[in-house]
Amino acid sequence: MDQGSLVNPSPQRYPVQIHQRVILVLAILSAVKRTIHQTALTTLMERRSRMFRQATWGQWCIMVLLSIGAAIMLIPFLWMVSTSLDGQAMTQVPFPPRLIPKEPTWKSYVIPFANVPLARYFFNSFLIALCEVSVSVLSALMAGYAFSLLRFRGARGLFLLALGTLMIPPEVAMIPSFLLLNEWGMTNSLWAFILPSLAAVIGTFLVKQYMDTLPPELRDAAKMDGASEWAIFWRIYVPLSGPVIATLVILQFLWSWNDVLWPLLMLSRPDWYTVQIGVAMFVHDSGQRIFPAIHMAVAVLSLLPVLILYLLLQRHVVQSIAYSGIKQ
Amino acid sequence: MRRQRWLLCGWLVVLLTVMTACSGSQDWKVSGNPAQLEGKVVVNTIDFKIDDYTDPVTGSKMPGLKTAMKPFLKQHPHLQVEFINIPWQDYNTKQQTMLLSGQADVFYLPQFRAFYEQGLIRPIDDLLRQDPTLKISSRYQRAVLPLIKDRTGQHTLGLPSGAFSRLITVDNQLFRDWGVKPLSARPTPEEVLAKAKRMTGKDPRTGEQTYGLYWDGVWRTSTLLESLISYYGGRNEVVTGDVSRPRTLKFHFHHPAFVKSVQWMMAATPYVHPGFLVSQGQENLFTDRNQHAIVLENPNMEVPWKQYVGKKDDRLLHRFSLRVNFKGPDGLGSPISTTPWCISAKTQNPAAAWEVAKFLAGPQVQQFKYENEMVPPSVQPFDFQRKDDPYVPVYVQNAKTNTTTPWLMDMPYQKTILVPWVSKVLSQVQQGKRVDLDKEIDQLQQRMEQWTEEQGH
Repeated sequence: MDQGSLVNPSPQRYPVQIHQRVILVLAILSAVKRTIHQTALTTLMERRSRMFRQATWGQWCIMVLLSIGAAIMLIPFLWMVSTSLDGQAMTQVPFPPRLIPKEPTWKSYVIPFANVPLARYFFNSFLIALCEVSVSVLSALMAGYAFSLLRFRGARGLFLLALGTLMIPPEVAMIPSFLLLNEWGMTNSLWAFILPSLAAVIGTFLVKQYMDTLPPELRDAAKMDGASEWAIFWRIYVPLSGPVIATLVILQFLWSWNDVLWPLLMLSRPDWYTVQIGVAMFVHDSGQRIFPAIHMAVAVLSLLPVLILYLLLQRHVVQSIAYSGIKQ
Repeated sequence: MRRQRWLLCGWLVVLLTVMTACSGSQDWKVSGNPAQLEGKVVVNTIDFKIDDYTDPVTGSKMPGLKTAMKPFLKQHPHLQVEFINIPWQDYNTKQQTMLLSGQADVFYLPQFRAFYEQGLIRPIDDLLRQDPTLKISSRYQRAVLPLIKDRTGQHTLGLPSGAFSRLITVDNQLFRDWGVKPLSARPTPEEVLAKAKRMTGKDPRTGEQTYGLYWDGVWRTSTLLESLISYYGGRNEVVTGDVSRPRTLKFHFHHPAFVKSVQWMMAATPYVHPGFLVSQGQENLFTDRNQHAIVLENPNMEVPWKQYVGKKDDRLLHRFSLRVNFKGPDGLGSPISTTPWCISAKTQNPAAAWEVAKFLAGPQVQQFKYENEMVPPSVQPFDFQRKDDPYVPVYVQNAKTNTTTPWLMDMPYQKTILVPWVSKVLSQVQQGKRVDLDKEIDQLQQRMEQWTEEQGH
C-alpha cells in the first residue's frame, strides 16, 4: 500500500473495515468521555466531602464569606419576586427592609396578560430565539472546527479579521444592516434574525478554543478510514463538543431573549413583537412609575424561560468546567 | 416655419405638463371629497393605547385610539388606517429606520426637528396653504405654534398633539398634615422653598417620611432651570444669539438670573427625595401613598384623573391641585411642550396622510385623550372641558402666557452639558461638600464656549 492511499483511502475499496474502525473510534471516544465525566464528578464530590471533613478554620471563614456573597447575589432576585407579589409595592427600600409582602397578591401577574398579548409575545420570542440559537450554534461549530482543525491559506488572518469585527460596536452597523435587510424585504420575518446569526464570532472563538483542546489525531484517524470532512465534523467532533454547545446555547438564548433593539428595528407588526418589546411597551407608564409590582411581575415572567433553560443545561456547563479542571 | 412653430408649441405643452407633474405635492388637492380618499395610511405612535385596555391602576376598562378613530373611518370608507405602536425605549432609532425605509406615513415624532434636518419628514406649509378647512393660528393655542416649527421658525413641520405645561402640583393632604398654609395661586420660588422646608421629615399624622419638594432630576431639571431663569428675569439674557446658527450663541452664565436659579436649586436640594437626581422616588407619586408635598415641573395629572373617570373615586382629585409655574417679571416664561404629528417625506399617499394627521391632531382625538388620559388639549377654544375638572383650567391659564426659552429648547447641549453640570453641583450639595459656584460656572462657561467653537457655520 502506498503512502497516498493511506492518507486518502477510497471508501469503495475498504467499506467494511472503515465502518468498523469508525464505530471502534466512536466507542473508544464514548468510553473516554464517560470515564472523564465520571472521574470529574467523582473527583468533585470527593473533593467536596473531603473539603468539609478536613476544612481548617480559615477555610470555614472563606466558606462563610462566600455563602454571604451568594446570599447577597440572590437578594435582587428575591426582591424582584417579592415586589411582584406585593400589593403595596415600592421600589425604594422600606426601613426596616422586608422580603415578605404585607399584602401578597397575584394581581400584578394577571394585569399584563389582560392588556398585552403576552402569550403571543412569548411564542414569538421562543421562535426567534430558537432560530437564532440553532443557526448561530451550527455556524459557530462549523467555523470553529474549520479554524481549529483545517489548515488553509490565510486561516490565521481570517480568524483575526473575524475577531476584529468584535471591536465594532453593534449600534454602528445596526441601521445599515436594517436598510440592507429592508431592501431585501426581510423585515417582519425570521430571516431578519437568521441571517445576522450566521456571523456568530464569539461562538466561533469559543468553539475554536474548545476544539483546540481535542486531539487532532481523531480527525487523522477518521481520514485514514475514509470519512468525509462533514462526517468527521458531525460524527466525531460535534458529539465531543457537548459542553461548549451547552454554553453557547445558554449564552445565545440569553442574548436573543433579552434583546430589544434589533427586534424592535426589524419588527413593525404587533403580532410579531417579542416579549421584551411587549414588556417595554407595558411597563413604561403602567408599570415602572405607577405600579412597580407589575414591572417586577413581567420581569419575573420574562426571566423564567432563561432560568429553566439554565437549569436544564446546567449539568453540561458544570461538565465543561470539570473538563477544563482535569486538563489542567 | 409654420411647422417649426407647431413643434415649439408642442414642446412647450410637453414641458409644462412635465413641470406640473414633477412639482411634488402641488399635484394633488387636499380639500377634495373625503369619501373619495382611498388607500392605506400607516401611523406610527409611541406608547399609545391603541386597543381598548384595562387600566392597571384603577382596573377599569378604558377605550383605545382605534375607538377614537371610528368617526373618521366612517367618513372615509375607502381609507384604511394601520397603527405601528412602539415603546419609548429606543424610540428614536426605531423611528429613524421607519422613516428611512418608509414604513409609516404619519408619525408621532418627538425629535421632529432632527429628522427634518435629515430630510426624512416633509414640511406641511404647502398642505396648510391648500387646505381651506384648517387655519392653525385660530385652531391651536398661540403658545404651541412656535413649537411645531423648524429651528429657523420658517417652516411648519407638523400638527400639534396635546399641550403639556409644566405646572406646580400640591398635595393638599400633606399640607394639612403639617399644618402649613396652602400654596398661593402664583407661588414664588421663595414661598415654595420656605414651605418645602417645613414639610420635610416625619409626617405628624402618619409618621411616614415626607419631602417638601420633588422634581425629576433627569427629565425636569432643564425645564425647572428655564422656569427659574424666567422668574429671575434672564430669559433672553443668559444666552444670546441665533439658535439656528449655534456658532453665534454667546453664553453669560454669570448673569444674576442664572446664578440665583442655581442657588435656589442648591438651597432646595435638602428638601427633595434623595434619589431625585436619578429619577428615583416617584413610585407613589399622585397615589394615596404620595410623600412629596410640592412637585415641580409636573407635566400631567393622569393618575388622579383616571381614578376619577375610571373608578369614580374623587379623593385624589381633591387631594392634588395645580398652581401656575414660575414666570418672569414680564409675565412670560416656563416651558410648554407638544409632540407633533408629522408626515414622512416618503409617503406615497400624501393626501390621505394629511387627512389622518389632521384628524389625529384635531379636536376629536384631543377630546378623547383629554377625557381618558388627562392630556391637556392644544386646540382652542375647546367646548369639551368637563365642569368637574380642576386641572385643565390651570393648564390653559398657564399656556396663555407660556413661552419657551429658545436656547434651552431641544438644544443638543441641554442634555449633554447643562443638565449634567447642574446634577454635578446638586450632587455635591447632597454629599455635604462645599460648592464654589463661581468656579463651577467658570468651568461651564468654558465648556459651552468650546461647544460653540466645535459647531459648523
